[in-house]
Amino acid sequence: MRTHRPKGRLAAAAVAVTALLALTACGGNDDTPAPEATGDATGDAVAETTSDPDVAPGEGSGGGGGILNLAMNQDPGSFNIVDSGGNALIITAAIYDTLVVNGPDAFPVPAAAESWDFSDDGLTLTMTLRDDLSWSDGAQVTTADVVATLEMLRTTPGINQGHFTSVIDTEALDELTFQVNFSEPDVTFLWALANAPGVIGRADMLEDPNAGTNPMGSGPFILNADETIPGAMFVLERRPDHWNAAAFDFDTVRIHVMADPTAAVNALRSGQVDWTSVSMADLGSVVEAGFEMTEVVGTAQTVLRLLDRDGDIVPALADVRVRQAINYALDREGFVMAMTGGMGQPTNQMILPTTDVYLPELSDHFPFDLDRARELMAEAGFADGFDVLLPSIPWFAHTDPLIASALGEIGINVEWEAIPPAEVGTAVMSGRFPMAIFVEGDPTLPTHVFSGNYSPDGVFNPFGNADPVLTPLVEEFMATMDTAARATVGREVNRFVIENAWDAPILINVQMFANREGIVYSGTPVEQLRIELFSVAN
Amino acid sequence: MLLYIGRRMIAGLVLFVVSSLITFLLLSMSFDSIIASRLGPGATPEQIADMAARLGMDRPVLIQYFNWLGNLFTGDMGSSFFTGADVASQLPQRISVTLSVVLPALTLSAIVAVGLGVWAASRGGWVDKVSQGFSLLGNLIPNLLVAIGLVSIFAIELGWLPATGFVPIEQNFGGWLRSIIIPVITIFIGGAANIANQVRGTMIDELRKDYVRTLRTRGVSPRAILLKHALRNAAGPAVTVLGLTFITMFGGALIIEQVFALPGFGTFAFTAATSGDYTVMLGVMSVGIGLTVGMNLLVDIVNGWLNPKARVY
Repeated sequence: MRTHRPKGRLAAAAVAVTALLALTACGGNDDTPAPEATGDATGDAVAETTSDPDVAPGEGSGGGGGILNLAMNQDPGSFNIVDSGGNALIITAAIYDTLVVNGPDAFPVPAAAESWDFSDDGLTLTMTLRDDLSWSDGAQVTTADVVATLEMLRTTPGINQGHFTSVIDTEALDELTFQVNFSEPDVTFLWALANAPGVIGRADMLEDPNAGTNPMGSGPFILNADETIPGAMFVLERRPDHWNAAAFDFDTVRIHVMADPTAAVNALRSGQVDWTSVSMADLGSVVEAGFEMTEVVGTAQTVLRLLDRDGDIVPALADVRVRQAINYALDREGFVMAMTGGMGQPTNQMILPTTDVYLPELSDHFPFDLDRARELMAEAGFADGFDVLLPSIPWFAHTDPLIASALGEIGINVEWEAIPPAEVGTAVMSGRFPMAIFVEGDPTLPTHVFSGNYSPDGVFNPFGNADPVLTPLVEEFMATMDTAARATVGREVNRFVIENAWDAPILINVQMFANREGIVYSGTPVEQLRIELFSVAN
Repeated sequence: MLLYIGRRMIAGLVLFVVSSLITFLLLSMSFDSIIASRLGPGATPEQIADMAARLGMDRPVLIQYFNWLGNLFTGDMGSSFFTGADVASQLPQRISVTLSVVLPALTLSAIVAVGLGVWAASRGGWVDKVSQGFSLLGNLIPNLLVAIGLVSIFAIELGWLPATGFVPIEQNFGGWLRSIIIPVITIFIGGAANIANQVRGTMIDELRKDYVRTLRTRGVSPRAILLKHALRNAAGPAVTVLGLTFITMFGGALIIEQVFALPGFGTFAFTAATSGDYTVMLGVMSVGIGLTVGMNLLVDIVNGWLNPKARVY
């Protein structure tokens, strides 16, 4: 008996090793033809990723073909037009056409709408559709679809409805021309049409209950519902008959949801994905591994919002000297290192230096100067400081001590209230907090920044603060249709909010992205997640 | 036995109702905020109230709860607040991903732990030291560290296994197996360490009891004493630990699912919680409570079967 046991064990071990070898032989790094070379997208979701480092995505397809695997850090949620936004846009904007798209300089350029014209008074926008737009089933897209979509967005409560506050209605003028009527000029509207509010839904399918998970559109891609694994991977197939098909280099795009940034980097390093954003913690390993890196400066800005400028909750904040003192108390260089590990740039303005309203002469208006800050606090009668309640936002929780310490230096005592992730936006804008650390997501767009934050009815102005100087300036800025004239007014707005310390901007966020060799990624501060930003390297 | 099972099932049902009621009440405090989030920062109180009325969320909370509970017992968990997808049809997909990792890990843990525990208790000496060392290390080393090490070696350096992702078993068996190997090994180590420690301890206790001495004097073979008598008596606590390990593995799957980008139950729950998808959260909660209660019930029944004395409780 004993003499047989080792043999049995050996046999079992041999079987196990053979099985493991056979199993691992099924892996991505074998010599089997890479599926991306043929555009075949069937079967194993993991094994068929572009895992062979020697085969560039799209290779052999002559500028059209191949598979692109992208890592995205958030489940896109719903593709329903009313609810779609944020990260879902990479998929929504692929399945649906948008009326315009953002150009590289942040100005909208034609897409489904080939031309447009604002009336001199800014109260009507007339747009003309391309004549070769078609739904994925081949039917023609008409202005009836556009009008139905815009009317639904205007009348249905949802995250996109806010873009339609100044829209009275939309009407079709003919098969290809339609008109949007405004109650007051809205210079932000055109930019909105480059995003979720500008997608075109099919009139007879707007109420389709499946639209949230399996939508049908006229965009350059269709969602492959059979291969899509909800919550994990979304598979998009290119439509060769789309009017803009030539702008997309890949036949199949797989978007992998990877909430953990390190998991995404591991997927990149093991060849499962071709591109991912990279956090500071993983930057070293990615650079060391030799991936191509792209730095995009100004994807957002981190700001200490000084919301209670009338002093409704904290009377001290009504005094401009107190708000200025807060600005002087922020060591922005230090915050860049502490908050981002160096992946940021200090700023004291709400918009990027690349915009036409930035004021370089005020870039050092609030140097880090605690003595001056304390002096201003004393002048305002708050030498002993005061207490404030701030929301502790989950993704900024690590910076709470830094903020508390900086404000503590000038006597402002901070207490924190923890906010659940799902309630951050509503809590911060509820009017319960006099200040809050918040992200300004559109620093490339002064129109959005100034209207949202400084109009009395701006969505990010929860106390409805108004000012006899600033408010008319903002109104003029928003009503000026001429770009150069608007920039002139915009600079005045910017000067006012800086000098009067309506907020305390801290830093410009910098985002790093890594991709495999053979791909070109062209992300900008305006757009980082659009399929057209990816192409095959020549 | 049937009476015992019936009693435990009623207790489990009561526990489910009480736990789900408490969770529902806690969640209901955020209903307005959740609606406001869904409607965006510009939502007016009228719009929030309108949507609450359309969704029936303006009714008294207890009525909402019993309405939800009634629907739950008919298999209707509602639709996702954001995507509109049917929650009841989404949950099995997500649970199957998590079970794909947890069940093999649990099975492997049970086999290795019972073998190691029994061997250590019966042999003592260096075998026992190895067993204790394994238990200690298994409990000390965080899953995350094991995961990072395994991914670095087998996915990034050797390229044998995928670093992330999941392949449904019905899509490709080989792909499925490859996608779960590293996650299974990662959670297996901690589970096996836990169970092995418990089995070793109870086996040592059993082997010191008088009936074992009596069996030995009667000439019963050591193997029979070990496997037929002592192990059966020691199985009760081991089964309890096994049940708890299952719940721990299932509940703790979130971290593993995040590290390996698995679209499992934990990820589903996390996404719902962070986005405020309350219908999904309620569905996840009911499954979580149901699984916990169900597993405890199963453990009680098995214990009652193994040890008739346990049935009096």
